[in-house]
Amino acid sequence: MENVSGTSTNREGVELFVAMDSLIKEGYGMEISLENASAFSSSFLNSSFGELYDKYGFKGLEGKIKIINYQPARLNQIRKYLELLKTMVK
Amino acid sequence: MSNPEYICDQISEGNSSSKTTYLKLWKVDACQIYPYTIYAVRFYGNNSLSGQNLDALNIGLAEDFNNIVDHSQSAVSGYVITQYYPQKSQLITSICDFGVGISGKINAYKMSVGEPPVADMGALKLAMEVGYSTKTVPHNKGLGLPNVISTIKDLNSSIKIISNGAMYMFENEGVGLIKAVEPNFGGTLIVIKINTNNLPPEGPLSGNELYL
Repeated sequence: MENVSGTSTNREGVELFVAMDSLIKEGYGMEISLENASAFSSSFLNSSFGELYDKYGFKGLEGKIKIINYQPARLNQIRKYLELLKTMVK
Repeated sequence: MSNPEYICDQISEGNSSSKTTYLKLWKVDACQIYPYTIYAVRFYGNNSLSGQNLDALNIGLAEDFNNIVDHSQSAVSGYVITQYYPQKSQLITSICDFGVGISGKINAYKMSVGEPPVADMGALKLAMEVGYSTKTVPHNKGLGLPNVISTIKDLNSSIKIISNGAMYMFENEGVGLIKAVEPNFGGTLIVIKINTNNLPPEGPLSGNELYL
């Protein structure tokens, strides 16, 4: 998460989206370290993971995003968000 | 950071003595969202509430700041003040703006899509529904206010939202209540009282790896 300037706003979420999207577009997977990451706002999650999953779908991203060095609370936030996103897509 | 829109005053540490329990009044703007939330979390995390997970404070501040910047159309943006009361085990933060209020925003959206307007209480209910968005920002999915409320409920803490002529209240383990208020507030005020006895400990980093 050193590649983003924060975890609170849409603008910061777009920074992460651009970084992730450039790798996925090229067919790569990625490791995201959540070391030193603070809690995520919904705006940040919408503009980063939300945009990525909207673009490629859950199937398209399967096995491509590995999370490392995380505090359980941070990982839970992302997981809860993605679960919610799945229900909204339906 | 060359865009003047994002140039902001340096956030000063002020009096960071461990005896200080309050953060002075701040004027909210787009560039302060992340710096202020991190500053507030570190201020309490390094002093009075060391070792406790302060995600609830972080989320409450960031979501409400985003709402002010994205939706309120408040000419003076907004203001926030935060204080810790050790004897009551409460961390209280109050955030307000003097913009169009939740009903103002929702009814402008409703008008734009040809729907009839709703009263202040109805608008507040809609804003608390997961997935209801006025689409002010393309990425928005209507999760901000529900995220704050569920975070506070999870900690058996309290939240009061007053927006124009409506108020929502949730206290401790009770039931959320919406009612009309007078006079009209003319904007939005959110008061969050975190019961610090219910804050979980800050957990260690996991050495595991996993795929989303």
